Amino acid sequence: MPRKRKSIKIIDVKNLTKSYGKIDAVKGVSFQVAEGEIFGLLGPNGAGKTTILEILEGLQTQDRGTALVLGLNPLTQASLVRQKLGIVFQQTRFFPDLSLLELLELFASFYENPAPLEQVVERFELKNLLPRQFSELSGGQRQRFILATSLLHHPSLLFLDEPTSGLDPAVRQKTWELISSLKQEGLTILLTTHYMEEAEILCDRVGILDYGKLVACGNPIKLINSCGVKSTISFMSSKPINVAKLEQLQGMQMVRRDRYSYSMETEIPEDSLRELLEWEKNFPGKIFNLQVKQATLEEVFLKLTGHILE
Amino acid sequence: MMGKLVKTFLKIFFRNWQALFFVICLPLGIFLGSLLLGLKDIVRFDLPLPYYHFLLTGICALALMQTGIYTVTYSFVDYHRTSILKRLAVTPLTPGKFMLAQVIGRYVIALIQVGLLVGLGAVILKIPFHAFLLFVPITVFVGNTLFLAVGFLLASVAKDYEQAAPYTMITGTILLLLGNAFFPIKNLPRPLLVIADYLPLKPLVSFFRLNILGLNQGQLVRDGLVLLGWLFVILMVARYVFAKKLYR
Repeated sequence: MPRKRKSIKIIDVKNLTKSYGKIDAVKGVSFQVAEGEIFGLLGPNGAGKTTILEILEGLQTQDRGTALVLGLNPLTQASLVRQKLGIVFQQTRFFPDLSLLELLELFASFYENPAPLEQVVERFELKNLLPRQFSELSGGQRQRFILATSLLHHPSLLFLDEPTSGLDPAVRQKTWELISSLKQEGLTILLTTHYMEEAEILCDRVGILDYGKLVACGNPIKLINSCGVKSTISFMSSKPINVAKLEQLQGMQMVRRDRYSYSMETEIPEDSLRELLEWEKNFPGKIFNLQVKQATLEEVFLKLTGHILE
Repeated sequence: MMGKLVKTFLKIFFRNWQALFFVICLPLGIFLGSLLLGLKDIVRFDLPLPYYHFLLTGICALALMQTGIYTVTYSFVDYHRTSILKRLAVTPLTPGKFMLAQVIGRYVIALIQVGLLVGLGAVILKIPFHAFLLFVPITVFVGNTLFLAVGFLLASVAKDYEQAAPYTMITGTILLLLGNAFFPIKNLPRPLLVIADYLPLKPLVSFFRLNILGLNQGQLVRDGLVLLGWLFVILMVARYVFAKKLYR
């Protein structure tokens, strides 16, 4: 049974604005993140994702607006915030010439209540890697170690800045599984990504950023549905079908026929598919090669901004 | 936290052969090289003390300056460039605590540097131990902290190695030329002498000569005030600039 989400605001951002000289990096962005939620900030490079994250981490000051993390000001109450915050940067490096064990011990010493290191080592499968240095690790091992240093103090909130950027597909998949398991444990996560697929898989809600502005915010599926971006259902049939009959099915629009191939657009693919399969039961022929191409956040982004995500 | 951090800095230092060479071996090498070359017979100075005594105490101060200006600046430019400092900045470790741990860690290294030089002087030059020798650790602390702060400051204003190179070169060269460390500067033009009196290396060298050789050059109050003034100002500025520009 899914956890019942409390409506405690872990992050509360209001009208956040930040400029670098003449460049407006963030323009009046507002959003909230609830406890236990995975919230994704999506957008192309330069959209303002990292700037927002750095303001929330207390590394940058905003020009206008407010940003509260766990009810605290990340700039003026930095030491309190940082005891409860785990952070994974886009690119993380550690002191050279130190083993993973030495680095874990060092990072644990910064916090008031670190987890026992044996637990951390076991959780992130680091036992055999402890004598090695960070520079000697593979991409997946590095990612596990970075997460271990970010979670060894039981944070209430985790920031992930492009956590799978530059990773190969297998490692990316593993990282997604790890992030999902953290969500199961009730950890609140704010992640930035420019991979829409990543956001669709991991996030409860997303905020889509473009040129520093928040152009949409909400549940990925609801965003796709609300933006009128259509999914496509296609199939082949052993006998001709009257197109008008297909158009009567729920949500079906724009039915196209090419000999025995049929293709239809719908805004509610689940309902349309259900009706199609029901209809097939009384159809004397047979339909096969059934495919559903779901609309994606990528298409939502294109529709909202007028340009593709790069 | 502080103990762990100091130990970590020392581990990093002693595992870095290059840093060990430049910080520990090079000052000793320069001194031994000058002995082997018979530098005192090549360059003749009118000095109130043997030239190698003069040189040894100068190298003690120079070693602290070199470590602060060159080693610290470049390693911190590197830590900033690779976001190591940014990773630390988002933990509860404050910039002040980080700097304090550096001061303590580098003080241990500086004591080793100066201890080896003084030991070498005692063995080779038969420099007699003097009561003031007990004040050497204090002089080392002041000199080490001061030049460490200079290193922090230079690393904070330099964005990369390209920018750090001229900053360190200019600072190091001016201090070296006016430091009264390798050669006496009493014959320099008057304006340069005044400048030298108020730069930090010359007073530091004077204190090393007092502590190691018992040689009082007669301006210790002014030298002490100059050193403490530099220490206070540079430390405050470095602390501020480090937190604002580098430790993030």
